[in-house]
Amino acid sequence: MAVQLNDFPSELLCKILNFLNTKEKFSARRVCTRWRDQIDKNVIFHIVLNDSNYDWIRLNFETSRCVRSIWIFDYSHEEIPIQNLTLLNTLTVTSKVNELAVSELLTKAKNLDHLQLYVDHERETATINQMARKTNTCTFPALLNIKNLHIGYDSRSLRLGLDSWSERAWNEILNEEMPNVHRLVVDLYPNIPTLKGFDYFRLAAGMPKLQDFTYRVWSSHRKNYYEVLGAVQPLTPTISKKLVNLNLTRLTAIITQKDEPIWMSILSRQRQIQKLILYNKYNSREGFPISMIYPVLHNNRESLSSISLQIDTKKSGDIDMEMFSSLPSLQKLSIQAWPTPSSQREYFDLSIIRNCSSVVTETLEKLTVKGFRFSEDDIINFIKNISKEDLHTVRICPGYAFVWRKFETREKEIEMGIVRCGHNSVHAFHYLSQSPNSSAVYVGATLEKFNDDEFDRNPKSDFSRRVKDVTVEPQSLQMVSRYIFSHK
Amino acid sequence: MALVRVISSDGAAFLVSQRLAKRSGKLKTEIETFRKSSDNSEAQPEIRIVTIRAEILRLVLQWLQQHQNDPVLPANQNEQDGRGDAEMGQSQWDRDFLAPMDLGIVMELILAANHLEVKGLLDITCKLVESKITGRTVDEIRTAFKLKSDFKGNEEEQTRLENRWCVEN
Repeated sequence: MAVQLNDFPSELLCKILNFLNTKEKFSARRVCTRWRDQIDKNVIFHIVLNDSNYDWIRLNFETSRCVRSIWIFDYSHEEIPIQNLTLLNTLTVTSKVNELAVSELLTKAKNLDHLQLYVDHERETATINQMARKTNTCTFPALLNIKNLHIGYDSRSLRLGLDSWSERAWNEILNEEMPNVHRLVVDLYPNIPTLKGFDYFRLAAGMPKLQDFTYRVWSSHRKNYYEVLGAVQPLTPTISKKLVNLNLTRLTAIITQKDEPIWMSILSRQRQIQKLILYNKYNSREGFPISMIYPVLHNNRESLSSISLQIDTKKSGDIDMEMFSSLPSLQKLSIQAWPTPSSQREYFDLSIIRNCSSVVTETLEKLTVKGFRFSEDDIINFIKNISKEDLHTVRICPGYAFVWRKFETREKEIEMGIVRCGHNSVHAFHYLSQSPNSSAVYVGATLEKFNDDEFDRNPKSDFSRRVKDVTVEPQSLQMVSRYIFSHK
Repeated sequence: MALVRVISSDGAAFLVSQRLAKRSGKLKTEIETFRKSSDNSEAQPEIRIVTIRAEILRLVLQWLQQHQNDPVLPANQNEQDGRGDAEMGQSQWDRDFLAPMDLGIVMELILAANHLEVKGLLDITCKLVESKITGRTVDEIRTAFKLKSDFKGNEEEQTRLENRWCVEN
């Protein structure tokens, strides 16, 4: 049976052509009209624009319709050497860029979906201030069409420049209605003079189609991810109304006590959330209670597929995991106690997790429970019940666990990695072993050896005797075994 | 171990574990549909793939077997530029696996991987075809893939002018 490349559906042909480098893509345009049309319509050209390649770009892309993405940096020209930017959907602006050129880009780019603005904070304050003033006056003509606004932190070497934007420029942006933005990621430092938590809410309130809202702030030393946001001003009724009317599908947020009421209002109105990540402020000793998410679980029962929560154990009481078992699409669940217990005495105050095994449903792929107390029977029942083939990784990290008490070791925390199958599990195992207080390797070894006669002579074998009828796939055991012996 | 019978377009049956089969998005859906519609939870699903012949289906299953412990990649992961993970994910085994295949088989394998929703296999086979394009002149590409120029009037000249830097280089 002879299959020809031109018999392929367009998406497959484009997938192949997309692997070509820029020069080869241009060559491929000359093969036939179908290839040319597909490349012009669907194949992406990523253009890096700077002073050194200005002439080359002008020569080759002046009339091109194919530019889909531009990364512009070190660019001193005032004009953009590409006439047609109707297909441009991604624009990344970094340091040393002429503000007039950026203005021209924003004016020409009518179909911008992704706008990323970064700047080198040490050297480029002046440039960004100029740019901010310029964009202030032209009020971002492209914002009407932007669907994905990432104003944030670049994880490599560049830092967000918004702290050097003028307050006036920001007020312009905040006053701008952005009717098509569906994803807003705010990854900022906490010490930005002109932006406070209130402003992020205000920004989000101007995006009626917002679906994916990520709202988090790096600590100034970058070691911790979740830091204090600026003081939240009282929200005006108009902004509050807009916020609670958002129809979110993904939400990542750090809940602070000050803004807990507005989060409660937002959360209680949602009906289509798929992915929910709620954390507490890094340096806080208090977090939100489990009851805060009851309305979310109730109202988003069909859509929720991924949940990650840090729960204040003192406010929450015992937690019955049964509440998650009725979510038919749930694939990932992570529950961590907040704050993390810092001493063994604190473990006695923790909530007790009940019915952990009930959450292992047909759809669940990954489960993490960390920092809670478990009853001995609950853990054993849980291990016995994890027979689902699709469950790749289980990670139970009891704060004060039964095995702990019996082992009487001096470490403060035990992490138990149960390896099921495959690459993911080994990865999780490796991760656990990196923790200085982790006894994951030990427990892994316990599971690996629990059928071994020699194991009964081990003084720490009580746990293993209790779980002798646990089924662990031989392949997983081999992996664990290999891992343990190669890392000891 | 739960099994599933997968039958090719020319009637060859392959008995594979459900765990392995579920690494194909299409087979996973079929198995779950079977489970929901079947009263007998022990019954063995039987799935007919009417568009893939035995030789190609065997290759797909062989690739899945080799990669059964890899993480399952979401269909849209890293798809912004259509490249997927082929460049970083190809192992020596993959290279040895693809090496003896002629272009026709690779083409069929691409269609099969696409139909069965096996993203990793789709990525490496597409990358292989791309490597047959790279470095060739336009005429050589047409010959290799049995394509004809269908430009009309001065269209080809216009396209050539747009690409003049390629010619000059």
